[in-house]
Amino acid sequence: MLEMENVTKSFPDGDGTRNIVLDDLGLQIEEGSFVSLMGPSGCGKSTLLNILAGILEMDSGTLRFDGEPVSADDFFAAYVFQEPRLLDWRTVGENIKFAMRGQDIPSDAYSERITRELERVGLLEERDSYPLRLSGGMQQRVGLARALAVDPDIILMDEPFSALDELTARNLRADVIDLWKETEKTILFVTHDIVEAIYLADRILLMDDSGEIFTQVEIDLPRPRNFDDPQLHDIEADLMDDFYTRVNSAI
Amino acid sequence: MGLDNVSLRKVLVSSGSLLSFFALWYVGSIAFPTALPAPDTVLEYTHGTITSLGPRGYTGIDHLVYSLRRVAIIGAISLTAALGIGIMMGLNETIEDVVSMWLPIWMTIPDIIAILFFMILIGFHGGSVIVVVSIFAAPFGIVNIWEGIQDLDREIVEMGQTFEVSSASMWRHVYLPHLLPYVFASSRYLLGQIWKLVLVGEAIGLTTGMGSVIRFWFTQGSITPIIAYLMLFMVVVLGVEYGILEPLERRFFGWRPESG
Repeated sequence: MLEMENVTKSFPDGDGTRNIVLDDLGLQIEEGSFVSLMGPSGCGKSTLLNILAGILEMDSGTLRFDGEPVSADDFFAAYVFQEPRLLDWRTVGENIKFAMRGQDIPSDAYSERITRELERVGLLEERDSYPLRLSGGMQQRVGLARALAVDPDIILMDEPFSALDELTARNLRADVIDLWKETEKTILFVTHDIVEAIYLADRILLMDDSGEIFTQVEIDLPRPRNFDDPQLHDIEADLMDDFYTRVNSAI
Repeated sequence: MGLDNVSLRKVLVSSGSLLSFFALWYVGSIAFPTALPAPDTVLEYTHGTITSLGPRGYTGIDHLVYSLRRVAIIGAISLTAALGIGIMMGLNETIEDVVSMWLPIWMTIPDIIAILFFMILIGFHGGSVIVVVSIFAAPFGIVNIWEGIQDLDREIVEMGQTFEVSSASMWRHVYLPHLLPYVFASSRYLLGQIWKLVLVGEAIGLTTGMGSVIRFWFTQGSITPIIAYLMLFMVVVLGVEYGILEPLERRFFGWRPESG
């Protein structure tokens, strides 16, 4: 279980004041769960991920991992970005190896892990290809394989399918669910697409512009879920209502 | 099949332009026989120059080797300096401010003044040519490498940070591969600059190297040997481009998708 308590983060504004991005924020992510974080652009979703990934420090607040207070360095979060962010000058296999170098993984285990994860995402035959020869969807799969290969405590996904065409994105969403079940990893998935969040997640956290998580919704639809399931769209309508009420009352 | 067409077109274009060059030269030599010797006269002379001892007691090849050795040494020094200073400018703002303040002056001091100054200061020998040309070619490489550092993809750097990759790995797999195209661009540009400056230096103050023989024949009012040396030089340029730079580029940049 990963918990954030009373987390605050602000950035200096141009005029000497501070712009509060995360305001007394709290959340819990159970081990092995799939949690979506939803909110409008610029509401601090990426800031939250960056704090968990250890590339930003929070101003105040507590992180707990399995009940113990920790710093972001004490657990390992792997990132899947909106863009693939691959090294274009290294092969697919070498890209995955690059990420593994940062971890305490013995170097004689690299090759086996690369094979395992590329097989999982269906790209084993592209092991020696260079990224620019692959389609956008395939590059994003390499990003997934890279995150899985380092065996993280949590996988952070920051709108990973928003730059892809809808057909490719749908295939990848279904694959992510399969990978999640197979590996039993904990996933925090940031999106601004409500339907995507409902399709993927066990639980959705809704964030507003003031940097707070104002509500969370359990999604108990049975899996495998269907994108065109009317129940899914009922939930979408309810969430949209919640969201608009909240955002408009804030204005 | 597409690739075959592309390479066929390249061969046709390059051989066509080479033929047109010699044809133009030939026509020019008929129109201005006193100023421009015919291609066959020059080629014959080039052959003689390569094999027999010239006025300074060296063959043309000896002079070429003298010049090329200087170019190679200066190239190595100035490229190393460009990489070192360019990277330091990317890492340290004070260094960046100081160097970028001096760059416009450093790049525009007339070479002839610099060469004469250093010849008088250090002496009329090969060493002073190496020192002065190294100093005054380097900024052209520095500018290139500095630009490369500024173009670094911050998102890739951030990716490396999230995966907690060590800085040694970052240098080996991110920064240096990113800088490689800039290193190639700098090498080409520096080699051109250095070659021209070395010849000027040799012409002014030395008795070895192509610059020195060209000045000798200039004082004799003889144009054919000068063009003969130019021919020799063109062969070297083509050799460096197609024998060294292009194969290296193919090896290092194979990851780029075929273009054109």
